[in-house]
Amino acid sequence: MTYSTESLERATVEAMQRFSKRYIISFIVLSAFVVAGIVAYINQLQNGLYETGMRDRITWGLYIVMFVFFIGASMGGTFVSAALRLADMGWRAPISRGAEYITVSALFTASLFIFADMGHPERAINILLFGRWESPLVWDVYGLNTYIAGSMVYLYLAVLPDLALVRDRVGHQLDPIRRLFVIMFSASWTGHPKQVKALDTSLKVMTVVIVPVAVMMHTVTSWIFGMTLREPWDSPMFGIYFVVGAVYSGVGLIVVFMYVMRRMNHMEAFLTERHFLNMGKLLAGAGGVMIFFQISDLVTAGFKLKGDSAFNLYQLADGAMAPIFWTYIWVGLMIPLALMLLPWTRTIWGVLIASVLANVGMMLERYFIVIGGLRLPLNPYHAPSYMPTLTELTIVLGLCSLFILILMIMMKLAPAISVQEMIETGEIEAVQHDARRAASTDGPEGAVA
Amino acid sequence: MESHSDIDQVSDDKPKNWDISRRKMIKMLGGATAAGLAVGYLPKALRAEPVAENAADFQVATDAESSERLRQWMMIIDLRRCDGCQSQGTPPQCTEACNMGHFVPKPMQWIEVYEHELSRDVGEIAPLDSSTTPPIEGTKFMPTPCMQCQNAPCVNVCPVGATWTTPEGITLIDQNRCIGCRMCMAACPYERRSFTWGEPPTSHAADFVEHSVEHQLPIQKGVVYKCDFCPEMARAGRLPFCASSCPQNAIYYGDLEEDLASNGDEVVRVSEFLAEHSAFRHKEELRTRPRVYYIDGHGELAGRDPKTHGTMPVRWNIDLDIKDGAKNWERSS
Amino acid sequence: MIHSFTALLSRSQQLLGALAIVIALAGVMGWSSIASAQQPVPSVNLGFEPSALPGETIAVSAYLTDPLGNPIYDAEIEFHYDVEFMNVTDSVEIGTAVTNETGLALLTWQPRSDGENHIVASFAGNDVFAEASDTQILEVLPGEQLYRELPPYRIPGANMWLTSGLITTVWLIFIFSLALVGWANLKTRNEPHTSNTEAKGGSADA
Repeated sequence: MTYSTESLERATVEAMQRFSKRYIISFIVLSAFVVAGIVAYINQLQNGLYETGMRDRITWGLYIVMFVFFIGASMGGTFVSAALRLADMGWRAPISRGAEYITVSALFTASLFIFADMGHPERAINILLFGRWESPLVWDVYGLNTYIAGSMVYLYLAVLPDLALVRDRVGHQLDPIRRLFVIMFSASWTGHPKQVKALDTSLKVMTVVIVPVAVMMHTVTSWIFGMTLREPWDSPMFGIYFVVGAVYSGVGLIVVFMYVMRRMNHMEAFLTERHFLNMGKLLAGAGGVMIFFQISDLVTAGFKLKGDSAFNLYQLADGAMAPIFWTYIWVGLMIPLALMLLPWTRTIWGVLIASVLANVGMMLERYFIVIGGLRLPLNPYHAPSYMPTLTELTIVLGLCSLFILILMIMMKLAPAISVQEMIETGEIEAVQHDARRAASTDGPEGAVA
Repeated sequence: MESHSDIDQVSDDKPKNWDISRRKMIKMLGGATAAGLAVGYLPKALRAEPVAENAADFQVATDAESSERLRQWMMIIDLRRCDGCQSQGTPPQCTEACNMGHFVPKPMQWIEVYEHELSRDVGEIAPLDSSTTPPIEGTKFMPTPCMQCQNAPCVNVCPVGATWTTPEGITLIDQNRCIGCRMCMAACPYERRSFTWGEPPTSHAADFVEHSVEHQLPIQKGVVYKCDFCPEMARAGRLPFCASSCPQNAIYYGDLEEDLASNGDEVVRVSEFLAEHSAFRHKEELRTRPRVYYIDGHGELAGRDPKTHGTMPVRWNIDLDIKDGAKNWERSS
Repeated sequence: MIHSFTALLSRSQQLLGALAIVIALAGVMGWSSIASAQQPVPSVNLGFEPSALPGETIAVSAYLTDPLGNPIYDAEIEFHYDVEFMNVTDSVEIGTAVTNETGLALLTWQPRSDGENHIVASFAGNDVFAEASDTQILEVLPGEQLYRELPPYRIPGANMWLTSGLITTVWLIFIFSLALVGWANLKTRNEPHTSNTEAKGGSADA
C-alpha cells in the first residue's frame, strides 16, 4: 500500500468533513463544561474571589497554576513547529499543524485564566491605559499579546496553502459558514510561484522571530515569580527552568493531541510510530534537563539550608508539599524518562503514557512552585494551607474544556496535517517507507495501524 | 583589490533589488504609520502616572508643602516597651485603635502584632522537631505596620501604577485603579497587604466618606488594602491611631526631615534616638529600605517576662450596621 | 539643688577648695551668714546668629559667668530646644558642652525645624553655683529639603523606549510577514500559471 500526495489530500479533507458521533458527543459534553465554568465565573464575579480557596497569605491559587501550565503547554507547539523547521527536521511535517493549534489555543486559554484570577476583571484595560513598563506583569501582558499574535500569524501562513486546497477541492460541499471562512482566509492563493516564494520568505522570517518570542514569553512568565523576594522564587534559574519545563509539557501535550487526532481522523498512515518516537526523544531530552535543573536547584539550596530556603526544602521533602513534589519527581520526571530509555516501552503507547505523565508532573510542578512559594511564612504564623474550591475547579474545568473545544473547532476548519509541509519536506515518501517497513516486519506499528 | 571590486559589484546590484515602485512606497508609508502609531502610543501606555482619579486630593497634599520642605514620615517602634498589651489585659491596643479608627474590614490588621521567638531557630522553620530546646527561650512582640519601603517591592511590580510612593515617603494604594491581580501581595516580603476577597464587612458609616487614597475609605471589594501611615492625620499634627493608643508609648511617629519623632509623651531627635538604641529595620538584608525602625527588646521596660506567651484576639469595628451581602473570611484558610 | 552646709562637709576633700571660694565670695559680698547661704546664681549668655537656614551648621555658644562676671570653667552646659511636634511639647536635647577657662561652652548644631526655635542653654548648678539658664530665639528660614532618599538605580539604555521599540519591532515583523504574502496573493491572483507537481490547491485538481 502506498500513499501518494493524492491520498494524503483526500484523507485530510475527508477528516475535515467527517463529524463522527464521538466528536459530536465530546463537543456537547465539553460545551456543557464550558457553560458550567461560565456560571461559576459569574457567581465568582458577584461574590468576589471569596468563592475561591485563596486568602491573604496564599494569594494565588489554581488559576495562576493553570495559567503557567497553559503558557508552558503553548511552548511545545512553537518549539516543535518553528525550532524543528529551523533545524530542517523533516519528521515534524505531520506534527507541526497540531503543534501550532495547541500554541494558539493554549495561549488563548492562558489569557482567560488571568481574567479568572483578577479581582476587577473589568479594569483589565487599565494595563493598557496606565501600564508601567517596569512591572513584570506588564511585560507578561505585552509578551502574551505579542506571542498570541505571532503564533496566529505563523499558523495562518502555514495553513494558507491547505486552506486553498480545501477551497478548491471541497469548497462547494462545505457548509456555508466554513465555506465563507475558507474562501475568506485562503486569500486568493493559487499556488503561483511568486506566491510560493513570498510565503516561503514570510515563513522563514516568522520562524526565526517566533522562537525568541516564545522563549521570551516563558522567561517573562517565570519572572512574575522570579522578580519577587520570596525565597523559593527568588532564583536566577527560574527563566530557563520555566522554558525547559514548558518544552517538556508542551511536547507531551502534542503527543497526546497527535494520538487523539490520529485515532479520530484515521491518520495512522501519515503519523507513524517514527514520529511518536522522535517526539519521545524530545520529551526525554527535556525531561533529562528538568531533572538536572531540579538537582542543581535543590542540592545547592539543601546543602546550606539558608534562611527561608530551609522551609521550602522541608515542605517539599516531607512537609505539606511532599506528596506533590515526590509524585512530580517520580511520576512526572523519572518514569517518563525510564519509559523512553527502556527499549520495550519505546512504542506509541509508551510515548503516550510518558507524555501524559509528563503533563501531570508539570501541572504538579507548577502547583508546588506557586502554592509552595506562597506558603512560606513571612511572619511568625503557621504555614497556611490552600484547597481549591468547587468554584475554582469548575472554572478550571471549563477553561480546560474550552482549550480542547478550540482545538476541535480548529481541526474542522483546516486540514489537521499540513499537506504542503508533508510534500515540501519529502515526508510523504518517508511515511511510505515507514509503512513498507511496518508491513514487512509486522512490528507494533502494523498492529496499531 | 579583488575584494574591493567584489564589494563594488554588490553595491552596483543593490539598486535593482531596491527598485521602489509607487505601490511599494505606499506600503512602506503604511508600515511607517503603523510603527509611528505604535511608538507614539506605547510609551504613553507604559508610563503610568499614579492616581489619575485622585490627582486633585493628592496634589493638595503635596502642593501645600511644595513651598516648604516635604515631610518624610517614619516610625520607630520600641520593642522594649511592647508587651503585646499583656499587662493591660486587652488585645493589642495599636491594632484595635487602627481597626476602629480606619474602619478596617474584618480579617485585616493593618498593624499586626506578631509574636517572634527570641531564638530565630524556632518558629521560622516549622517542621523542626518541637521537642528541642531553643538556645534562647521566650518571645518578643513585634507590631508590624506597612514598612513604607523606599525601594518598595510592591510598587516595583504593580502593573498599573495603583500603588506608588509619595514624595513624603509613604506607599499608598489607589483602590479605584487597582485591578486586583495581587502581584503586590506576592511581592511584599512583610506580608502587609490584604485583599477584600468578598463584600467587605464594614459599616455603612464608612461609605459616606469621600474616597481618598490617604484614608482608603469607602472599602471596596476585590482590591488591595494596607496600612496607609495616616499622612492626613500627621499633617494635621495628630499621631496615628496606633501611636496615640499605645499604653506603653512604644510607637513613635516622626519626620526624618525635621529629625523629630513623638510617641505622644515625649519628642526625640530621630537620628540620635536611632543611633543610641541601635535601631534596626525589619529584614534589612532585603534592601527594601523601610521607614519603620525597631529598637530591639521583648517588653522588658513594660515589665514583661519573655516566657509569657500570647495576645488577646483583636476586634473590629463591625458591631455597627453591616452592609448587606458582607462576607466573613479569614486571613488564611 | 540646694545643698546644706552639713551636706557639703560630708563631701570629699576635693570640695574643700570650692568651699573656701564660697566662703571667700560670701565674705567679699558681705553676706551675713554662711549657714543660710543662697548659692550664687551664675549667668548664662547664649549666643548665635539670629537666623539660619535649615541644615546649616551654626555655632551655639554660651558664656557661663559668676555674678561678678568671672568665667566659670569646667562646667557642663546643656543645650536644648523647645519643640511642639504632633501636639506634644517637649524640650529636645541638642547636646552638652563643657566651659573652657573663658567660661565658653561651644557646640555646633544643624537646626531642622522651620520657624522660631527656642534654644535653651542651661547650667544644672553644682556644689557652688545654683542652676541657671538662658533662652534665645533662632529663626530658621524656609530652605531646601534636607532628607533625600537614594534615587532609584537606573541602567542606561534599559528604559521604556527599549521596551516599546522591542515590542513594535516584533509586531512590525508580524505585519510585514502577513503583508508580504497578502501582497503576492493579490498581485498574482488572476495570473495563470503552469501547474507543477509541487503546487498546491487547484493545480492538483486540474
